Parts: sequence; C-alpha cells; structure tokens
Amino acid sequence: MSRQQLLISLPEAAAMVKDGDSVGIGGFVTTNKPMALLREIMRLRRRDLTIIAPPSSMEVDMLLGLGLVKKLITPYLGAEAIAPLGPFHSGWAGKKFSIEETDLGTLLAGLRAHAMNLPFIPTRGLVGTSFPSLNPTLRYVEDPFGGPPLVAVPPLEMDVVLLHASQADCYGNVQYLGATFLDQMMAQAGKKVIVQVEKIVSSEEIRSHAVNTSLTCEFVDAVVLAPYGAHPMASQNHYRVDAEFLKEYVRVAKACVKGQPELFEEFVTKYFDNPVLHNDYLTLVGLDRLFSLGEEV
Amino acid sequence: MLVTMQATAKETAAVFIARQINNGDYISLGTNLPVPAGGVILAQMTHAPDAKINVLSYFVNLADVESFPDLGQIANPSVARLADGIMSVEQLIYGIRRMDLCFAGGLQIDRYGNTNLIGIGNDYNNLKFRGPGSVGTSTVMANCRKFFIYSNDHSPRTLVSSCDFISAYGWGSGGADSRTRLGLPGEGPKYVITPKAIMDFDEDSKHMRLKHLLPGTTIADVIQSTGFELIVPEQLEECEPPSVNELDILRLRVDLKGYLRKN
Repeated sequence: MSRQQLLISLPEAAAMVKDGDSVGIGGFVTTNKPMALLREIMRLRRRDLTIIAPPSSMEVDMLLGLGLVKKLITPYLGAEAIAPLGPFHSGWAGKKFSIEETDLGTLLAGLRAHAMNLPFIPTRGLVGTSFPSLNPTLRYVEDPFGGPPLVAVPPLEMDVVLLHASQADCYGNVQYLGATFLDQMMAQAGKKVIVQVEKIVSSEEIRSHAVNTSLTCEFVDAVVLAPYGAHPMASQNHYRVDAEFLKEYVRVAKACVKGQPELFEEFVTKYFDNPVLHNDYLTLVGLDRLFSLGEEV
Repeated sequence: MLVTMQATAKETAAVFIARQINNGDYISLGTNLPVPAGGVILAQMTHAPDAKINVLSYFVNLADVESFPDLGQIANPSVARLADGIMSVEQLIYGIRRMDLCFAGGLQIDRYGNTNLIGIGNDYNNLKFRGPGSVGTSTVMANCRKFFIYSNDHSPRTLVSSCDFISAYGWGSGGADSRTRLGLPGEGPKYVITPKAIMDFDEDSKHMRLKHLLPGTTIADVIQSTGFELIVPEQLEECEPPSVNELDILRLRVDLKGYLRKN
C-alpha cells in the first residue's frame, strides 16, 4: 500500500469550508496570508463564518465587507502605515458582525488550550483590562496557590485552518523559508488544516533539509499548489507586499462604508469573482507586476 | 544636506528613547510605531550594539547594518534579511519574562498610563470609532519589565482623563501599588511620549507629569492639549537636544524615508 497523497485543487480545498464554519487564517498582518484559498471562499460567498486570525489586514476586512462574517476573533486589523481599513474601522462592528475581543497572548492561550484538551489556560495578560467585561467567554479565576486572581481563557476551536507556506511535498510535510508566526499553533488547534504553497517539491528535497520542516504531515490535511498565492500580501523569501494593491483596496473600502458601494463591488467583480482559476487571477494582475514584487528594494 | 536641518520634535523624541536604552537590553518592537522603532535602532547603532531587538518574529542586530529599510512597515519580510534568528510568535510571547522594554500605542491614553486600542465610545456595540485592536499589548505590557507609551497625537482626544476601554493596564486608577496588588510584575509604564512632550508619572500617585517639552511647544500648549490636569513641576528640565552624530545616524541610516522629519 502506498502513502496517501494530500495534494488537492483550490476548488476541492474551498469545498472543505462550509457556511457557518469557524475558519482560522494564518500569517501575520500583511505577510503569508492564504489569499488564493480566501479568494475562492469569497467567490463562493461562504457565509456566517467565525474568523479566527492573528493580526490581520485586507483579507479579513474584505470578508467583513462582503458580509460573510458572523463573528471575528483577532487581536489586530490594519495595515501599519498604509492606512486603516474600511468595514472594520467603520460603524459595522457590533452591528453587521460581532467581535470577541482578544490579544495575541489570549489568542495563543485559547489555541493552546484546545490543542492540549484543557478547559482553559490562565493568563495574567488581561488582568485589570476591559477584556473580561467585553468578551463573554473570559472569566476571572482564583489562583489555587494563593496569588491574585487570573483570567481563564477557554479553548478556541476551528473547523478549518487556512495557511500559506513556501513549499511542501505531496504528503503534507510543509516548509517555511521564514517565520511561522502563529501558524504551527493554529495547525495544532485546527480540526482540518489546508496549506497552500508556492511550490510542491519532492520528498527527497524535504528530507534533505528536514530542519526547515515547520509542519509535519501529522498536522496537515490538504496541500494546494498556489504560486504567488499570497498576492497582494507578501510571501516570505519569495515576494513583497503589493502596497499599491492594498491602497486601491483601502480607497474602495472607504468609499463603500461611506455609502458608495459601487467601487467596492467593481473591485470584487474584477479581482475575486471573474478570475475563476488561480492562473486567471495571476494573468489579470500580470507578470510584470508580480515579478517586480520579487525584486529587492 | 540633511544634517543642517534642525531636529524635529519626532527626531528629538526618538533620540530621547535611544538614550534610555542600556547596552544589552532586550527590546520588543511592535507594529506602526516609527518613533520608538527609530529610537531603538539608533541606540543599537550608537551606544547599545549588544541590545537585543525583536521585530515581531525576527531577532535582529542592526549595529553594523548600513541602513534600516522602512520604519513605517515593520511587519515586512525585508526585515527578515537582517535577522540573526526567527522565532514563532508563540516562542516570543512565552519568552516574555526576559523583555526589558516594550512600547504601547493608544487611541486613548489616560492620566494613569492605561491605554486603549479597542475603540472610542461608551457602547461597545455601537462605537464611534473602532480601533485596530490591542495586538499583543495587553499581555506584553502586563509582563515586560517596563514600557513606554507613544502617541503621534497629543490632544484632549487622545490624552484623556480615563479611557473608554483599557486594552493595556498601566497604573489602573493610580497608586504605587496598583500593579503589585493585581500580581502584575514589572515596573509598568515609565514615559509617555508625544510629538509635543515627554511625560512621566508621579512616584506616589502615579498620575501623569510633564517632564520635557519637545521643540516647537510651550507649557501652555501642552496643558491645553491634554484632556486632564497634568502635573507640571515648578522647574522643568530641558530635554538635551540630539547631537550632530545622533541626527546624522538617525537621518542617514535609520530613517531613510523621513517619517520622523515630518511633524
């Protein structure tokens, strides 16, 4: 009997995400975001999603703008100096979607609690802050050893986790040629884990640099080939963030929340709905633009 | 000739931050705080070549680096080129005990150094402005040895009597024991830095106090721009201006894009 191969197509991967799912999105702010997978999910308009994400940017803002999110759990949404984004920063929070207020340490505690089958992990990080009164899942607990009270963070469950990495073999051994951010913790806490990669490589190549394998196949359920799949975000050691693309998004998102949805809708149609295949999207963006993002600055 | 231009307030603030850093300190830099980032990198390129700096997941030493790419985009893979090592965010958060200095930002900063990155308004479900979120500030400021607060805006809108929400705890509702009572380790917030002034906290009440004026500001302006009654000492020490060498390095190696030259 031969080993099971985990390589599937983007549409097959998107079919693993259902309406109402809780979806974990890996990466960090504008780096290593699984944009190819997310475009497919947005094109299919998967709804009522609970989004669990480390610091995030346009990808989560777009999901909010399309009205696909029921609940958002993220410690940060923005794009650093580029600009604050649209739907998240407008008056939509609390009305069109709810937020479960968190910070990085809290998010990690929730993921770890789930990965380790614990009812909670105590943290000192939220003591004295507004979080316990804003996030109904948090509770103050006594320290059984007699110290001051701590905040208990319950497990965070994810139906599916979407990640972006450099390369993998067909068996789901994944290598990052750069930081892994929270991706390993997300993978360990996720029910199903889908990783899109820049490149599929041989098992021999993975084994020749096993020290680079950050996610072994124990934590991976499917691998999708998506070269330039993080665009317009950066992919570490491959290409930079497409800042002009993000600025274009910020313009249309801001117009949208001010009651002019036309430009946002045009943007969605152009980049998310019309290019059915990943290659169609890359063709639309264009080789010149994509290759220029690989240049050193 | 960049060096002939007088130091701006932001450059002076960055130099102040640089001078607070001891050689060997472990400092964590977060997103979107160009002035603190500029100060830390300047320190490393001058008197603190052994400072340990982490920029998100990247652990860098910039002492001998010709220049830093972009103070405005810290979460940028080009920083990875300068890294000695890369750790996961989990390793970073769970290694927090060793952090000497961190920086917090805030939509609101109150008189006791509590900060708010959550949002503005009384009703959480109907905020006037939704903030970006606390990133890691809640956990990091609770546990690191000490932290500085930085804001680009010094106005009664930002420096408020009390925050609508607290995302990172400073000195709570005041008092020198307000952190130890809650079991929070560390020395808490030490300075609040804006483009107008540098402030610290009264030793007993932990109420915010004016320490230095930055170039282009007066005491009256600072008082008027602060949304609560700032403690103003009878004798205000002058903030020692940046040296030619500090300004030179800041402009030619740290801040090539000129974030700190714009006020």
